[in-house]
Amino acid sequence: MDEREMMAVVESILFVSGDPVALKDIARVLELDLRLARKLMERMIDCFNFERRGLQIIKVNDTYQLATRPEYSEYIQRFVPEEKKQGLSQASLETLSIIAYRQPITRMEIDALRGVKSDYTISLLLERGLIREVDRLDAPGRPILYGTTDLFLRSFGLSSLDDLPPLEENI
Amino acid sequence: MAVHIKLQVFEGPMDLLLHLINKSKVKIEDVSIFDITQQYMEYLEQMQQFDIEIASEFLVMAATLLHIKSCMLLPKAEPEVEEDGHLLHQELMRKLKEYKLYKEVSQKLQEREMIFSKVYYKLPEEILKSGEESPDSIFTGVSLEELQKTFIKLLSEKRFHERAPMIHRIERDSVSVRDCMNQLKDFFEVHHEITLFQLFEQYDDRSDMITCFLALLELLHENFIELYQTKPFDDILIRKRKWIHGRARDDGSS
Repeated sequence: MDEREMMAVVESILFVSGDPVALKDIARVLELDLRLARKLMERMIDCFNFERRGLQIIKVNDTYQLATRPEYSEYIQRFVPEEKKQGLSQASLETLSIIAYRQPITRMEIDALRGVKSDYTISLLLERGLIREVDRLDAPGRPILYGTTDLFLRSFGLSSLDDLPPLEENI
Repeated sequence: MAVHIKLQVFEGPMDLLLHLINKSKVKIEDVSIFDITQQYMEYLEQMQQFDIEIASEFLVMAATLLHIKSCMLLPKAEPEVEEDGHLLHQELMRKLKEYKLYKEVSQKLQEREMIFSKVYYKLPEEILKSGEESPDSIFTGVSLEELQKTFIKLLSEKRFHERAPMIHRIERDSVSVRDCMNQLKDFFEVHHEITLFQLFEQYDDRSDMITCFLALLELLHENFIELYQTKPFDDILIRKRKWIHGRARDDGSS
């Protein structure tokens, strides 16, 4: 099978899946090793970008997913007028940033950083699936440790946590 | 009379302090604790004037600021007090700087969110995997409502009205759910299937019946049994689930 054909196979799999597809599943179907599969996916992402297709391939932590491009959202809106999406509040964004950069982190630490109670905000973020309970701290009360989810990465267009914009630290 | 004054809303005392510092256009480390305390207190007063409830966190911060200020005002003869104030000051400044970092980065994240909320995904195709039973077939057309309706019908048919004493006595369950589950399991060792009505005919005590119903739900949950109907409104049949038999047996209830 040549590369074009393999890409076509992957494209159809991504279409059927809708959800993110793990690299190892792509490798399994194509009978490739992970390294080659990853290379193929990189080439495929480049191809989609170069050809300025309406769809793009989004990579999040070694999973791949088909999605529309934000540039064309205006036309999708014309096609199906959509209710305006409610973005995250300032408090939510603040809490989410702290969790993203400092994970795993307890609620107490978040409260201390923000100077306000964050339980409500945390419950909202949990509900939206942007954060999750990662573990529990080995300390009295075994407080919950929070971390971000793949949905968080996807919602903010990040491939992995390494892609987070750098904190401009000058302490 | 309505007063139209817009008071900026802050996420918390740190947010307010940061705003005051930005307004005075100085770096965090160069902030005069006297000026900032005064501005902070003025803001709280404003809030009070407009009858805005002040969250306790704002008051804690006010107390901290005043504490630092008072330490600094005391004569130098008290080195401990001065040291104390100094440490508190440092700590506050450090916290403010850290908070500022996250505040700034959260704005960047907000921009990203705006862009990427315009991305659309597709729902997965519903393909039934080979060898996998469709989740619907567990109930094969029996909805929970139907199960509930049937049970209520049973209860009303039995008519236990004669046993309605004025004083309620809570009696110990003659059979526990666990026991009943075991009885049912034993039953299915011998019998292939039974209808819901047949099963409940054996009971004439209302609470036993409920126990049995609970046991039935438990077994359903354990995947030990399955319910099905041959046609709508027909008797609900209970039968043992074969293919998961082994696992269901040694699995305790949760």
